[in-house]
Amino acid sequence: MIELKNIIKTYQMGDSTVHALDGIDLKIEDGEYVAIVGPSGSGKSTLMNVLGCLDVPTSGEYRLNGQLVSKLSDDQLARARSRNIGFVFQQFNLLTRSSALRNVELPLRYQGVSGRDRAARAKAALESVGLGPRVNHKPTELSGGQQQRVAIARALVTQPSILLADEPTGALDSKTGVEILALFEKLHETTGVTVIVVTHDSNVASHANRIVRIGDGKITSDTPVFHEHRSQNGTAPSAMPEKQPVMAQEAKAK
Amino acid sequence: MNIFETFRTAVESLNANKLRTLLTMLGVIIGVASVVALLSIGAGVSSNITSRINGMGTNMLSINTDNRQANARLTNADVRALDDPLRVPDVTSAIGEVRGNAKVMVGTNLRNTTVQGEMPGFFAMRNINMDTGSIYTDDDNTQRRRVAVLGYSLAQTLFNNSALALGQTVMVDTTPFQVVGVAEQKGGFGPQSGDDTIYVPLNVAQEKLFVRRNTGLDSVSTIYAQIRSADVASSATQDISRTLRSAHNLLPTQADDFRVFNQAELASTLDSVAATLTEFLGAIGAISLLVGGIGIMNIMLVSVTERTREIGVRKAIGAARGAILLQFLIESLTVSASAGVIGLLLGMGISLFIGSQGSFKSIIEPQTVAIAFGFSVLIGVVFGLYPAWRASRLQPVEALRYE
Repeated sequence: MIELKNIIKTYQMGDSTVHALDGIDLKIEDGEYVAIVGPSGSGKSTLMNVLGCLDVPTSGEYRLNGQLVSKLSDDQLARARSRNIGFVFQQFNLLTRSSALRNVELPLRYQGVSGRDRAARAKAALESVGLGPRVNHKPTELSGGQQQRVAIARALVTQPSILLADEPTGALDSKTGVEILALFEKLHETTGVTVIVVTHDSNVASHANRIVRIGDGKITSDTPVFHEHRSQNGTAPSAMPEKQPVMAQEAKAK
Repeated sequence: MNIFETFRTAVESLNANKLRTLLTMLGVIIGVASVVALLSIGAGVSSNITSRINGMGTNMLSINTDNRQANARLTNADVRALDDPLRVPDVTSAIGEVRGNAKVMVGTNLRNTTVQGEMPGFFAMRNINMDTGSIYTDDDNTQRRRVAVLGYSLAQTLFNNSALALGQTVMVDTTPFQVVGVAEQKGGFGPQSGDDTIYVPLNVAQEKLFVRRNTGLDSVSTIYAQIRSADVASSATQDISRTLRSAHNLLPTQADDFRVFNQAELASTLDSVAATLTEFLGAIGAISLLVGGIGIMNIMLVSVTERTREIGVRKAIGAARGAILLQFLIESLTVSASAGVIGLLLGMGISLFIGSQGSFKSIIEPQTVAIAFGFSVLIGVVFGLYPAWRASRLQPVEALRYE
């Protein structure tokens, strides 16, 4: 559960002070699928950094699963990230020299998980994103969509409560982008993880159950989205006819 | 992350830039190799000097005339005086020597070499053993028999085979001598080794070979005095001075017309010269080790900048500062320690090779190995610490934004 109270983040740009976040109040319950939408410069990236414990606000309170994280030190933030949050980036940000398996193992390594356990969990995570047979490929040997799947597996391997994705389809073609969004939906529904997608693209945002719009560091609107073909309570998607064949095809191709 | 995992990560990223890693290592490799080679060669040279001076005979004083004094000379009488235990109790034996150059000839085989007129006691005092035959006797000396002992390589040169020399006659200038012994090979180079020397009885040399010296038939060029132990060197020196001054009838106002040298002192002087030289060369090696360390720091800083984004990702997925610090520290440590090992092997190879070529054996002391390897590890830590610290302090937000 995420609770933001009057979050303010200011930057000093030369002589002037920039209010990147200007009094944000936001509450996100466990298991929600939220899109944070705004044009560039709206403060959505700053909000993502605060939500992801990559940065601390100038003032205000941020409670993550009950823990007050807005005042933590660097190392305490690292531990909070490691325990609660999985990141998915626009540019995938995989370690190019390491295999998919080792990339996915990395967060477990920083948690101090032992070798055999680690490999098993990383393999299971890769399996869940549909990359089972490609565990030993290096990122350079994988397509963009496959790389993003590895990144998603890396984000989920620690079983975080929140999956935080920053423009996850921004570096992908539209067809692959749709596949990745479908994967988010599937993972959201099967694992119950809270998904927060930060994007400027309203098509991407439309997949979420709730859209929070940001402008000039403030929340301008916060509206729920109702999907006709999807149930809200996280049961298995019985009606995704246009997406399931794509997944099946891919699995066959491998 | 445990140390083994961190080490594996370090090796992976070093492998990704093989040429750069190798060039970085080169500085430390050269530094360690030169330190090890120079210290080992230095140790070899100094032990060679020590053993050679011990080979000359330990606990020995040598007495020469002071060349600055016009009429200074040493005689057989001086030798007898110093050999008298009542006058110089610390001296166990004293012998006289004349030394010069002469033409030595067998048939048409001619060689210009050192001739030493020696009393028979000389051979024992200088630890010279016979390869074949035997040394001449006191009787040969007092009876003025024309007999000679050849140095090993001189015998080889004159007779092709040292065993053939016994009983043969050699001409020294115009005087024939019969060979009674050939000395064992001493090794080493220069006239000090004695391998190229012909030894004849002192009295014969004084009266037949070096008669044209204006100092008289009974003069000697050097007196060797064996003392009981190194501890009595200074009291023996005083006794020798007093004895010779009275023998030479010197007034208290007159300076000594002779000089007393202590072989042990000479040895320690040469040894300390060699040690200073070794330290100096070792210091030059250490400087290149330092330069190598700065090279490591330079490359590590470049590497941290290059991998800013990677550091950001690692931090985002849960790496604490300590984990990043350790990762980069182990990387620089891996570079410097493996360079240290390679440098060590290279340095040992160089010193063994040089030792096998020259007249001395190089000595690779365990502490040299320990110091060189220890230093290379230390350099990895010292020069890796700052780049690693910089990496660990990177803010994840800015690091992730870095292109």
